[in-house]
Amino acid sequence: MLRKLLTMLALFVPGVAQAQEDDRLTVDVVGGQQAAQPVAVPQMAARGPVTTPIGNIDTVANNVALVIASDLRSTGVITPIGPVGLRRLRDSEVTNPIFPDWQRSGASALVAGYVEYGANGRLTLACYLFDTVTGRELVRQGYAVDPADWRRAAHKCADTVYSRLSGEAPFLDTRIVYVAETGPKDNRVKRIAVMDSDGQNHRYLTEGQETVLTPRFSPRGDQLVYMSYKGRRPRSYVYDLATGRSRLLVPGTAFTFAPSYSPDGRQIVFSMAEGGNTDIYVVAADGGTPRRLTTMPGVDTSPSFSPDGRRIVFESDRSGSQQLYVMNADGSDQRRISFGGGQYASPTWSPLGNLIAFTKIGGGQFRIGVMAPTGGGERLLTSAWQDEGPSWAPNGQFVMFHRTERGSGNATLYAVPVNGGRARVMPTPLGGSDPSWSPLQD
Amino acid sequence: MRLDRAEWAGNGMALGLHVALVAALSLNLARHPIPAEPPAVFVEFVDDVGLEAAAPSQVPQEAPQATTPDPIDEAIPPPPEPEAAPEPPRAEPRPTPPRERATPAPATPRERPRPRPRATGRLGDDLLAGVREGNSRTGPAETAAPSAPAFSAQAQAGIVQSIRRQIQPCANRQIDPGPGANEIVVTLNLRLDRRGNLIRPPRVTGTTGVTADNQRYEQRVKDLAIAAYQGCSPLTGLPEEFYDRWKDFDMTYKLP
Amino acid sequence: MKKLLFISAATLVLAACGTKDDAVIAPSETAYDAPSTTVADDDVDLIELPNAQAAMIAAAGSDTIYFATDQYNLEMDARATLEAQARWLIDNPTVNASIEGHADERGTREYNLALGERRANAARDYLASMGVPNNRLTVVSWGKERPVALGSNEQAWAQNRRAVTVIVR
Repeated sequence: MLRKLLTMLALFVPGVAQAQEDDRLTVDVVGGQQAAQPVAVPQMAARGPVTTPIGNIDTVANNVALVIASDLRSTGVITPIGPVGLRRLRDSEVTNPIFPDWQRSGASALVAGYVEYGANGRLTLACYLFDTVTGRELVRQGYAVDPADWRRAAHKCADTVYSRLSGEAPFLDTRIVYVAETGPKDNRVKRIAVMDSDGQNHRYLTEGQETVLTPRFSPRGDQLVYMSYKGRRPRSYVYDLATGRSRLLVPGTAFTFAPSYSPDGRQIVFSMAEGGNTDIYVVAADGGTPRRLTTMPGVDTSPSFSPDGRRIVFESDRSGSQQLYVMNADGSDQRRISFGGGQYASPTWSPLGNLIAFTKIGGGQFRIGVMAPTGGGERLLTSAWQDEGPSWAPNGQFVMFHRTERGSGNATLYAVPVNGGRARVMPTPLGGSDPSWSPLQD
Repeated sequence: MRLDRAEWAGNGMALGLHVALVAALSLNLARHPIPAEPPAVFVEFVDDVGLEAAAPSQVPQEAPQATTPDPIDEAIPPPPEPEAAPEPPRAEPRPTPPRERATPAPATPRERPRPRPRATGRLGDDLLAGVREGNSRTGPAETAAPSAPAFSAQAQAGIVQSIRRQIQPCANRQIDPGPGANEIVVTLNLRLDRRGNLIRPPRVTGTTGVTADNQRYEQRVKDLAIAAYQGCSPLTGLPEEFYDRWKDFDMTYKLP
Repeated sequence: MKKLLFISAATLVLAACGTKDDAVIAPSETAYDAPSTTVADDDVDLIELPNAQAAMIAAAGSDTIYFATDQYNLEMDARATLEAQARWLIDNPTVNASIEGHADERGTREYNLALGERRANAARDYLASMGVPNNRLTVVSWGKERPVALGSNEQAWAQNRRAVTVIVR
């Protein structure tokens, strides 16, 4: 699953020793490789009572390590070693690992720690990361959770490890909302579902009586905005995850679709179609009068805010074919940014601001790609019959999308690293489409 | 000049900041409760983890007990903590930036000046004898054998080449964290005894090539520079007569 | 031309906080209903009438018209079908019609929703021009969500690029 580009690059720079101002020798060394980092993830140490509400504490210690290892593997930049095949971590090693043992496993870093079921009914996970070569402690974090939420503690630990080793922001303690699909192509049942980013804790939010499309998380992760054919009227709704209630984005019968939140969560930008014309509007997330942002004849849709909230990227066929445009958040200064061959659709702005992901149509394929907000530097990340609907991980390092199979029309969620690498399947119990990645959870 | 002792001796401060960070996040959590569905998960920092941090994370005594002939750097004494006292278990939730790398100022070094740890010297050379014998990676420095003690350009080049040849295999093992990381050049200052052992942990004395785009990799490339050196140390075969020239030298490291 | 007219009219409606949702008077005035109008969602549900649907198909020959790839202009046979549907609708003033536009699978989700609306709107405009009162006509887009032909080939896609006149209460 993990493809390493193991290009050993040993460059011997013809470095001439340079005398510093104080005549100190300087040795220039250049070296490194493109590979996934091997990290040992042994079964954690266990402390406190043996019996916990979620089973024997040793089992918990092993399950935590399994989740951490699985999370780290999904990053693509880390190859976990263990917990299977490794001895368990001794209690004394939580802060003082016997490094040669872990080096021998081939790991250059070690995730150490313990789990403890405390008298207060909380489960504690202490999470340490060591460099096995230098013996340095690189980072530590501790979490206390309701025992039922042990997975989130493991995700937090994995995030800490990933973030320290990769330099990237964490993204593993997140959720995915998507459209679960089942049934034949001409009578497909579509339900909104949410799950943890590793596919666990899966549940449905809608029953499937009506077709639902394009759910998107709010920036705080407490709401969704989506489209539903409730009452045979396609309209966008705001859904409150805490109460399970939804309300119309725009009261009335207007055909509203392709909604998404502004980065501060206060506004929702969407498309409204009427009289054969589709334009982009923005409305306060808690209601109010929509403001129109585009007026050109044609289809203006799939709007997505930049992370600073100042600009919006969208697609428009005003030139005669679907292309990407960027405008200011008030609708001014609309400029086309895509000029390659083919058509460009469903843009979404990276949370880092530096890239825009899109669907590119051409050559009989629908592919996921990225380009700079100014339009340059286009890179295609996938190649398939029909990939579409990109959504960014909150750290801007992965793009999730759905791939539709020719013929059956069955759709599957995938995530692809933005810096190259193979797309991996996101596990879902049924088919899946229209994914949206939640922000990192608190 | 940037002091990288932080990487070694600054666990206390790092921990404190982490406590503050998590405490701040927890407070934040209290203001914006996670929606009830699925039931809210409360994630908080655990104080007793902090209490454990009293001991240095790398215990020197552990190193010699390695029975394998693994040559890798058990010789390096770990940095003593500046203070042996347990660090305060809880920190005030000081307003810290959510993440270090999120701070915009690219030029700001991540390390904060802190009390200098006592010079080490806790490990005697005798501890290292076995380790050095086990080091088959490096042979004698055949290049640097000048007949006269005069430090010729050739002698200097020989030392540089010998050091580079010894460190290179471990440099090659380092893993590139991401695009643009290879623009970062880390300078380490290394102080050796006459037998090639570090007399104090490698110290990062500077980085160049850090931009807004690759800033998030800076800390990691520092890690890699230290690991590249330590992984293939102690150095062997350097000419004794020129000890004054290599007892205190700089190594720059960058990814290819 | 028509589009431009609509746009200005829609803007006016937006600014003026327009009409109640089911009072569809002219295409240009249906841009959307003012947020101040409180309408229960189920007031506007479209309920299919299968018997009436069968009757219209029997009278008009078909409830469906077809479009070329990425097009929404009405071809000759489509116009003929719509004219027959219009006659039936005028003869049966107690029912309404939801004109439902569809696209083939070879488009992105959002674009196809817009394209379906364009197709349904073209059919609706033609029915209105034939004398069916606008307030009896509703436009719905299904995008690529409801194919009738299951294949992934041109033949199947041609059948799926369509607008269907659905008789509703």
